[in-house]
Amino acid sequence: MIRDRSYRPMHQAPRRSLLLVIALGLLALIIMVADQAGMLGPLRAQADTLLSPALSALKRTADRVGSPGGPLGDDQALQAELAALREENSALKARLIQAEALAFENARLREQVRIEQAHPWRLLGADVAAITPDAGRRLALLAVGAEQGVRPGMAVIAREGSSPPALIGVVAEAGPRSASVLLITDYSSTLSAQVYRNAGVARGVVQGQWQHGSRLLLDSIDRDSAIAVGDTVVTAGLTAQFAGDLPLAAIPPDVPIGTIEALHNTGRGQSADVRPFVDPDRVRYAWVILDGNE
Amino acid sequence: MLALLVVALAQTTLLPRLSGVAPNLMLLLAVCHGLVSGTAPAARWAFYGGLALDLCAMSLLGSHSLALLAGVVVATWPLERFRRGNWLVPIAGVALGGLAYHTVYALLTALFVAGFEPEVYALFAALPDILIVLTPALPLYMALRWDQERTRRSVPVDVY
Repeated sequence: MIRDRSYRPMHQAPRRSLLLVIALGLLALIIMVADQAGMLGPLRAQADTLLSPALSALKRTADRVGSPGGPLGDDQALQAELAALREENSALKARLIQAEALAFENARLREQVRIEQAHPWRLLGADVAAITPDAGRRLALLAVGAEQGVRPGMAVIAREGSSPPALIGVVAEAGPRSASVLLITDYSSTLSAQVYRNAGVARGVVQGQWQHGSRLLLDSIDRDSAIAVGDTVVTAGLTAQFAGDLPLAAIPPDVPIGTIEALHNTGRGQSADVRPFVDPDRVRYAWVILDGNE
Repeated sequence: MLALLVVALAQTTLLPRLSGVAPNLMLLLAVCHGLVSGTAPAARWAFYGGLALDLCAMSLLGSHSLALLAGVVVATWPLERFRRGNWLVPIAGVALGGLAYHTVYALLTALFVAGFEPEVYALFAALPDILIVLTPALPLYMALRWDQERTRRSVPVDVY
């Protein structure tokens, strides 16, 4: 008998098939309603306990197989991500340093504005690049020079803590982009100074005393001047007043220098030990008074 | 029954997802078995296979059974009169069965679980699923036919 491959499927009793389908359908519906009502909870829990291990194991296998390249692909992806994160970290660190520098500069500029608003000065901010390490001469090197308008004889001020902006030195030499500052504590630094007291003013000369083991000495004070310990010493600006073409003429009057610590009677006059408001040796940032005119 | 459980496990865990849709292996098997062997055996496969799927997928027990039953019935009864050698039979059967399966399953989900948008379900769940199962439908149908003919005797059963 030749097999007829194109024969039709076995003719099943249609009623029997129909009854079976209806019965199974009803059974499925009953199971569904029972599960919705929560009656099959224990059965599901049991089934879950039996099937969970197999499901978890198969899921893990599928995850491992599913990703292209498998573990190798994961390692490469992780390494790439690590490299990218390192680069980002490095860039962020650089930006942080930049931000910190900008914040510091911002603070300095704000300080400069405050000083300029309180005084009739035009300032130029500068980093103190170096301070002479030996005691031979007290000099500081500023990172600004003639190109920025610095000239010999200009006053250099700074602030420390809660002190007022006070004189720390005078520009001795000005190169194109740097300037050396003779600190007021140097013995060769001599400046006219004055002390306001009782509606009067006592004038003298402030000279550095570092090489003599001290700081500042206010000398040549009239013996009748009623100055006292604690009085503020400021610049007198006499060079500007009497000899306007000398370098020191650039020092404006009334720039704070320090306070009187002790008084001495020298017979013909008085002298006073002056404590500077700002220790020149600790200054890291200063301002050059470019123009002290009101 | 155990084989159907294995199929359910494979469908819910092992099979890769194409555009977020896992191939509906149980539907494919049930419909092709129905086209080859008849409605009654396929109905049993649909019922037990659906229960296995519900247990593995943590869905409402019986929902997949009902949906698969609908798919098997709609796929096999209209196509009973066509010759088994016609290659359009498995294609049409799986398409009709998939349509019925998703219609019933969507209705059951809306009634017992939560509402949804029919257009969204049709576009993102039903259509991709039907298209995915259509691809292996013909090869699977032919494999099942070959297996059945191999185990049957050479004399056709309807020869008197």
